[in-house]
Amino acid sequence: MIKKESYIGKSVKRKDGPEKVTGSAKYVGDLKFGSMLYAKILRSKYAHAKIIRIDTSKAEKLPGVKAVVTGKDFPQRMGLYLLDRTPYAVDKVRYYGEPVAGVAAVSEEIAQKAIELIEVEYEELPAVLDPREGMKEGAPLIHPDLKNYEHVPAIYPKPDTNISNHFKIRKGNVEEGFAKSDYIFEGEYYVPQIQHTPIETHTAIVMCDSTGKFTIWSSNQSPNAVRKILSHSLKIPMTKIRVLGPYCGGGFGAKAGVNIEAPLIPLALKLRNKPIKYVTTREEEFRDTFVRQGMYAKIKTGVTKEGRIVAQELEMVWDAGAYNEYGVNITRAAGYSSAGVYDIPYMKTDSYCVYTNKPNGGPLRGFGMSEMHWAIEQHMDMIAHKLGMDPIEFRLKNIQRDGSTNATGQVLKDVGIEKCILRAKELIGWEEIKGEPKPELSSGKVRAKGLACMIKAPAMPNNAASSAIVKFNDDGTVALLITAQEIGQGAFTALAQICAEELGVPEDWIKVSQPDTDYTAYEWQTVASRITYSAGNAVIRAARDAKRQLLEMGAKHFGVPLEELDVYDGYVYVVADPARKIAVKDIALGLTLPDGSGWGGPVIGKGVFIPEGVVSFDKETGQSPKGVSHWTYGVQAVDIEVDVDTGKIDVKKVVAVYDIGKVINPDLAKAQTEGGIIQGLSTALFEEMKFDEKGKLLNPSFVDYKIATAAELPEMIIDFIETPLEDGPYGARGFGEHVMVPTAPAIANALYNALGIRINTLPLTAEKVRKAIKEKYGI
Amino acid sequence: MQKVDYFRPETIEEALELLAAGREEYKILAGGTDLVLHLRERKVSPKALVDITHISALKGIREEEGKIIIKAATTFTEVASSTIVLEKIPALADACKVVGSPQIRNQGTIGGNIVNASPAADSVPALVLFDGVARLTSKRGTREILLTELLQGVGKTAIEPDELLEEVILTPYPGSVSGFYKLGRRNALAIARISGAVELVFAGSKIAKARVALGSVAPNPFRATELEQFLNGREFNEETKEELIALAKNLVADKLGSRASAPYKREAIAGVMREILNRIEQRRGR
Repeated sequence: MIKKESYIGKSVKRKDGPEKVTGSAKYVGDLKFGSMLYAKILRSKYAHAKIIRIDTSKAEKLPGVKAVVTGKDFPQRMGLYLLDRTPYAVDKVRYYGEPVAGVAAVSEEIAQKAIELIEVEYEELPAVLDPREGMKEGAPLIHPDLKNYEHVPAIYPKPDTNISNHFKIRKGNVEEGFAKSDYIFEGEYYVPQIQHTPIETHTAIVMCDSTGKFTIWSSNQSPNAVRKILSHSLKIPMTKIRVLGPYCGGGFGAKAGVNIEAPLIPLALKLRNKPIKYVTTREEEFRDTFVRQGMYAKIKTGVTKEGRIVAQELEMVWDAGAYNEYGVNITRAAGYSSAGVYDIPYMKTDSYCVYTNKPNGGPLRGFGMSEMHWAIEQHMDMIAHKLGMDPIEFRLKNIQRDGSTNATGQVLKDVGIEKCILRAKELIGWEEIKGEPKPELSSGKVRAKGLACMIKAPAMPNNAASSAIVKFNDDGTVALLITAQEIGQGAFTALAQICAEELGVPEDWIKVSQPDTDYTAYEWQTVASRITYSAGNAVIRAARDAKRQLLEMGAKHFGVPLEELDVYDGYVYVVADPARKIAVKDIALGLTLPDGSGWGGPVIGKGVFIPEGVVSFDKETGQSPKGVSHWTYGVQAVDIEVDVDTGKIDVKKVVAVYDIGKVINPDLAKAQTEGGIIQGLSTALFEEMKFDEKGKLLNPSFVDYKIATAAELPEMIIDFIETPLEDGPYGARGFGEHVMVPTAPAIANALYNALGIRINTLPLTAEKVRKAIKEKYGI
Repeated sequence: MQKVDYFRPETIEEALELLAAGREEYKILAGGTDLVLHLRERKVSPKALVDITHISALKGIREEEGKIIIKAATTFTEVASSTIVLEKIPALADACKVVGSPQIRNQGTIGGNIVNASPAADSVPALVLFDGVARLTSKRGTREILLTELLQGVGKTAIEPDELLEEVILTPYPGSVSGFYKLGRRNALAIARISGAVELVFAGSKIAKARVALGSVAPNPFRATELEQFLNGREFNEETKEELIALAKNLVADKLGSRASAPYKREAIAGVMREILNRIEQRRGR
């Protein structure tokens, strides 16, 4: 017998590592073509205004300028879930920064000069900057035509309002639940809009050739979605659009769906055979790509005196910005996840996506979960303290277990949150907390621990599909053709491991393709922490299909039944007699029979995957027996030190424990978690987009918008629980975004445990902490 | 970015010739971590840049009769890792270690930090602390001026267009212990919101001599003479520390008046002072 070594659970080195560390990896910014032109975009200086007049004549006359476009050149609306967005403003602008006109010129400098020569006359309209005001009757309408916009069936815009989606949960009668409760606790929480800050700003090159075929190179997470959306709005077949995805220098959700490709389309239509390149400036990256939505949450919770949660009423009002084509689904995801990790019999949730005259809300690592858990996890801690219970003890009384139902009435199984909590408790060295904290203030520093939980499902359409093609080269090496994007998360490595495992060839024989929609196999999008899960399943099936073909040829070659053969280390061999073997390379393109004739043909395996049995939520109640493919749970516990005088929070240690079903690559899972902790810590302490009273973003730079640096790194202890997922590859669950979700509420909870102060708004700046200390202690 | 001429003299004399010829239209490039940004933002538009970082006579740190002399084009990294600085004036090492990021510390210079005259200049409180004197040279001759007199407000100095800051001369008290701390919005790559530096000479349990300097609470870093007078002759104990902190709070409140940052800074100064005194306490034992 051959002793097989598995690639699953091994820290295989990153497939993209050597290219990236040697500088060989090509990003869109590295690409140059002959006769290339450069684009610049004129952007609105008003948050909400009618466009009275645009005069582009001076810009058009500037030598070197090849094309100038405005909204009228391409007024079709586009979007992923709700078609509410045009590449350039048509008739009115809806946020400070919206594209008003675009220029393509022979150099960036000339394009910039041309932009400055375009005259625009505006008539200012009253702006909506607070979604709570925006959803009131009589508020200025940002999209008066909302009722006519196309959208997917799963979202519910309210005509003649600024509400682009209203997702509801009605689980039992919540009033009945409150009547059964001994105590009612209410709280309000807020998160501001924040930015993804990828190192690579959005970059794209778009060309329309003389036959009308578009080729698009883009730093994007969604090549197939870009093709679909553009095909729909251009009304041309998908054979006329090819989207390529070179390496992507960080996505975090910002590069999902269609982004800066759109404003290049009207320019490309005017200029055949000219590749037009557009690199967003850092200022544009901050303001004019997706941002994370702001959110106001109001929670009311009914609890028994034993500490059991009976009822929860939650209202989430999302500050979703000027265009909600993607954000509507974030609102939906938070709605159906609104029980968090808890088993709550009676629930009422209203999640409102509200247009505001601010930058466009969109996906950001966590997809609504960070925002929602900021509220829920602080609220749970607050209740525990009020009841005089330890926050962990309170959670253990209320968490979901096998057989519990969540917000949507789904009966849950294989729930691993309890194990995560107990492991985190042990790793952080939790000491029981009961009653109000009594800090020793005189030393100037106070230390404490805190904890928060999280839950997340891949937020995607029920039928979001993946596919993979496995084909062999003459020498037995393998091309894995997929359209998943490597955005730094390690997708190529995990998928190569899975492919090698199933095929029985060495992992370094696998070359994973970069997306090219003309040739690589369909992938819905690289979002929702779904690639290892969904594409992973497709790769398993494709590899098994290819392996079956290898075995068929082996069976013919050895004259034994297929079932008696296996493939390992690049050989097809007879299991009972491993010395009888033939190299994969000798049969990968077909078998040569002893008489010299050929048989079979090149091995090509295909595999597809759609999560099965995902049923739409009921419109009125949000109930579904299984509304999402699966859930992933996790916990973070933190140990912080607070400077009493300066209010500065120093995060000393973070423990993270996630139940990810099966760890495919331990090093990558750990690295992903470390990155998430830093990003979560950064949002907890620093990040906030600040606007003036007119809706102008005040801090679109790394000087004024601070993110955590290496100097903020805490000690990080990371562990995984493996409760297998029924339809996950080797049991693996979706994992990636989850790692930044509980960091901020865990820090806020630790702050309370340190000083008895609760700050309900992100970020936890030194000023806010200092002010709260002064208010509480008078020092 | 605008087009400018670039000169790279290798001697002080060459540099002075250029400055004399260029008058106010030439600007000295001494690392460029601020100047290059100002050029890009068109805040300044000189005809030419005179890069002094290749003049070997403008680099280095030496000790001479109890004085420590730092040449203007010495980088923050060089200052922070200098044995002389670490042993004799650790407050300056503290300050230079927290300038920007490693890249900025490798590029930016002490001279540039002084001449830029920012209220939040990281190294300047520590330079002012040790009675820093600037040595200015031009074709017309050489003069020495106290840093506290050289700095004349935000972005303003008493340096003439043809003058070159050659070196800064520090006079620490013999046998002193010093420390510096900066509070920024984060631990690296952040502008100082408040910074402070303290130098103490101990006589047994008492403070024999004291110097205190503060940054980011006035147009330029300055010597807090009230705090120095308070410290002179006191026991170095908790009571003194708390009283010093209370005085520092008052001083910061006075300096900032009704500025928006005042309510926070006049309290946060306590944490800054505490951290500096902790550092001194730790160093004193060594």
